[in-house]
Amino acid sequence: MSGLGFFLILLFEALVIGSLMLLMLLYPPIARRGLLFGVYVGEERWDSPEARRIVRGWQAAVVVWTLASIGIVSALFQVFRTPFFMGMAVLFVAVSGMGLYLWAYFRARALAVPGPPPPAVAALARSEGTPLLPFFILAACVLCAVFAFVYCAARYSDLPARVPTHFGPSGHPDAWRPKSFWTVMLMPLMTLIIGTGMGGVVYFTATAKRALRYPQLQVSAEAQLKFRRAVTRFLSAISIVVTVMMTMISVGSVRVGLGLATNLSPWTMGITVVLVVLALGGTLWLALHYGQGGARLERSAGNAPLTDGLADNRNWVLGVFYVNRDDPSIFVERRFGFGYTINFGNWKAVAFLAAFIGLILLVTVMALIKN
Amino acid sequence: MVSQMVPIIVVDRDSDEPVYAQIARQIRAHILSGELPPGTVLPGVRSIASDLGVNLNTVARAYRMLEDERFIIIRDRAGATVAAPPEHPDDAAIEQLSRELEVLLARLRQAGLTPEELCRRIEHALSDSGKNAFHG
Repeated sequence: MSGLGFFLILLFEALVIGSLMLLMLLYPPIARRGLLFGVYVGEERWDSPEARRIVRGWQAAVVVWTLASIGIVSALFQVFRTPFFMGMAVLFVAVSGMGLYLWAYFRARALAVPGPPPPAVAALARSEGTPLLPFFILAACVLCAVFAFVYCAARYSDLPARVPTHFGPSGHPDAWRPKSFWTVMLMPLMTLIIGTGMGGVVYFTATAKRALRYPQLQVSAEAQLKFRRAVTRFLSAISIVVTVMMTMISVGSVRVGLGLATNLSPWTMGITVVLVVLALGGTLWLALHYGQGGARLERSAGNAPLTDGLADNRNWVLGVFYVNRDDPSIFVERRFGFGYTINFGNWKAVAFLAAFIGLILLVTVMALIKN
Repeated sequence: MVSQMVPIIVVDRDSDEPVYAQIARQIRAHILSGELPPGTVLPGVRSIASDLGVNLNTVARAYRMLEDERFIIIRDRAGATVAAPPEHPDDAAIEQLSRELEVLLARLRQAGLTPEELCRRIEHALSDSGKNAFHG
């Protein structure tokens, strides 16, 4: 790997780990009142001395975890300097981060609200309806991906015996392989799967279950609505940028293979930077402005108890997996962290997730086997 | 948007009363109190089920119960709307409900309720939520 490539990957890793640390440190102050590391502890216990002790322990551990992660990732790169260890480093950061969460979760469990959960509440008002934005985003993503697929398929027969399969940070190809269906069509197929899947995520987010407070229904409902709209718009932007980026790489690879260009367009590299900045910056801005589920807009209404969607500890496994077979909701607000997760008790939600991940894995494995 | 004035349903899943009965009882009370006037379009079954985290069939059963009792009208596309009382008395329905009332009165007496207390309760109910139901 070139010096520039090494530096860029290291910079990227440091940026991701640093942003994660910032989000993890910000987590307790931006969390919804009543929720502590995936556990509903009630609005009163939420800022009790015991809860504050758990938060302080978490913040100290996050700082140590971040420094250790950056040190270990840097050491791995210095010694091995291969893309494989980039994946290993990401795996290490992810697994150790999960371990850190579980440690805080089990400590928070001791403060869980005893007895029956709070009541469930529904307003007898017509919902505001499904917004049109998710449909436009889904259509745009699919159209973009279909264009990439059709373009690559149409130029397949014109491609030479060897085609570029990997590009360096400068946009020049640094790996070539014999032409085959999987070497040429892997990227357009991935664009189609990921574009459609992300369009689906935008739709489900726009119609996600609301977690309200009672009796302060109005304030919490408005906060929820604003938060949901903001996350929908953010995910819409991410979906479009990802699909366009993948389409540009698909088309650019074929153009380089055909000899129509020597490298990927600088716009492709530019849009990659836009994606990183948008994803990290957007998440941080949403977290700081809205808080978890619009918590920062709730103000004094945050003292009212949450209703059963988020407050029923029986429906949450390890504080992150919502499992309610009765609930027809597909997406629900996360209890820990930021944004939405799926209802693992709903077969439609599980089928969506399984199809999304399963297709990506299937295409990847097929490409590895056939090449 | 949920306004503070919008009537709500509160469901306790650990209550002895079945969830569908809790939903039907509260919608019925909102209709009787005038908070849900005739013509009001109610939220879809999926929307209420999602908010409450209960099965679709539970909400559908409550809606069917209210439809049978003529409190709401269910149309496939328009959803459920609050029904207006009929312009002319429905003699058959009144006869049927009167027979049920006789049974209920007998059971209340057997439960120890005095006629005076019964009258007081009926007056209270009419002056409170029932008034709007009878005077529109």
